[in-house]
Amino acid sequence: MSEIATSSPSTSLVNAKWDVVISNGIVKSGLGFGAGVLASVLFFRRRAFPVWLGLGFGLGRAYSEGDSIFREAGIREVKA
Amino acid sequence: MFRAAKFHPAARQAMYGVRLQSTIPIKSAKKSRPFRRFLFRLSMLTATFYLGGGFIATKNDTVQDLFEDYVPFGDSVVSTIDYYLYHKDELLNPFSRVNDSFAEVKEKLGLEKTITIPKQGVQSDKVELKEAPAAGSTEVAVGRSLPLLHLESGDEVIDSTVNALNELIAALNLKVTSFENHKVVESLQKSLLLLAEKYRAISLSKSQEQASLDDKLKAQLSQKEVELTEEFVQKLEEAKKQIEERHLQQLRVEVEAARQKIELEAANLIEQTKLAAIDEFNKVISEKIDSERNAKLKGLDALAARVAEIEKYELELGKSAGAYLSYKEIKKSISSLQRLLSTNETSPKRGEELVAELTKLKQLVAPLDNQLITEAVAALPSNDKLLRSGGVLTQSQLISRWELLLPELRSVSLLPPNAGLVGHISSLVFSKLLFAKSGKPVKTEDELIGNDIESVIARVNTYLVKNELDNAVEEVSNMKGWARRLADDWLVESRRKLELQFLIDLVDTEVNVSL
Repeated sequence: MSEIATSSPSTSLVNAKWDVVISNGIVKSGLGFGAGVLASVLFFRRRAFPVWLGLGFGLGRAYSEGDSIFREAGIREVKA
Repeated sequence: MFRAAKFHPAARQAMYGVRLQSTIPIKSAKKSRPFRRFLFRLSMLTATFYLGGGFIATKNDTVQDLFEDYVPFGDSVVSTIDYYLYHKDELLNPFSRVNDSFAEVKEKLGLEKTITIPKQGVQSDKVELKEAPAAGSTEVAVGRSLPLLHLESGDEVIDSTVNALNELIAALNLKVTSFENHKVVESLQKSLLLLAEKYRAISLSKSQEQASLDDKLKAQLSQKEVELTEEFVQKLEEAKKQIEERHLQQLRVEVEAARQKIELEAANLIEQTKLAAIDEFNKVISEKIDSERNAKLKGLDALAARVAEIEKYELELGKSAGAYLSYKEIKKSISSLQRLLSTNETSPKRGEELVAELTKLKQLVAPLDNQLITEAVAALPSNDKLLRSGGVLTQSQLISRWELLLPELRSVSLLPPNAGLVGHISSLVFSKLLFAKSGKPVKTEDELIGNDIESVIARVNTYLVKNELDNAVEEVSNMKGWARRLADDWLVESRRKLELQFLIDLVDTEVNVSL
């Protein structure tokens, strides 16, 4: 059986989107978390709440971008 | 504190408890009459408004319209102002209209003349009563001056008469004595007599002149009549002559035309008879030649006809033999193609085999020159495409690919339209709770009953097992949204197979029918 030469099979359309969403989620929440830790160390005498806040921001950003990826609003094209 | 109270009158008043008041009544400088003043101002304002408005209205048309429409008595004010703008003298001399009305009265009474009374009144003169009966016709009216005659004709007599009359009038005006009047009357009578004589002489000469003129005119008229009659007779005769000439000429032309026509007809007749004779001669000759040939060359003709017939048979035979041969070849090719399409064994060379067989079939059907077959062959998928996709999938391959597709289809089956992240997550979770259907659920018009994803999957499964690929493809292509997009690749593969099957069936049938 020779290979089908299409770029991506139609069966994996949704899965490709999931990949993008999850990786984007990890990156964004990680960024938020990091920013929270930095803020906590620098400004808040190592208190916990800035970390939670940053994580929340990251997750929220990841959620909104994931939403628009599924709705195909095209926030930005990320090739899986 | 105390010292201050000593001097300040208000403080003093507070001390005594009595308020000092002047006994002289307050005299107002001017008596104010507010109502009168109001009335006066109102009337001034109104007058200003009406006068100013009316004046502007006479100058400007739009203002005039507004003024006449919205201001009470506006139009009468405007017309009055307009009138006085053009009759300014009446405005300055208000009694000029009285004279006009007096003139109207005069007209009504029928008085043509009125005596203008001088400002100092009527002066009465003494009238001599003795002379009144002697004079008889002398004028008694005093203070009345008769107008002088003004007539200037070239005639001396008339002039002298007019002069005499004027003298009389002047005399009457001057109230001269009757003796002088008598003299004047006599001279008047004399000049009147002269005038009468002159008139008689003039009228006599006039009638004589008229009679001589009448005679002359009559003579001229009769002469003219005679001349005209002669001229008319002459012209009539000329016209008559012309008409006769024209008629003769026309007759001559017609006779000539008739002669030419008759000559031509005669020539035609002669030619016709000549041709008829030649024809007959030819006919006789050809008859003779034919009879000769029939006798000698009859056998040769029959031979030629036989040879042509045999040739035709031979050609037909060759054609049908060729057709049979090609038919056999085509049949073989088609059956091998069908075998390739329906076989279940997979091999890496399947695509190439298929392409080689199709190329052979195309070559075989090309000389048939059948339009339907040509079109069908042209509609087959291109060799390139077939080679790239490795031919067509077998039935078992299609089924296995469908099975692989199923979990994906189920996971997107509960998606709302334009689903976001939450929609996808919930669809993923809740699709695990769906029951799989089996068999062939009945399809309905309703969007949910029999048309949900599980029913569709069950039906497609059934069709695939029964080898009804066309029905399965129809079901899948009727899906909507994400499910349809996920099944796209599968649909493309199935359709290619169906297409090939259908076109080869078509070619087979057409070959069977046409050969």
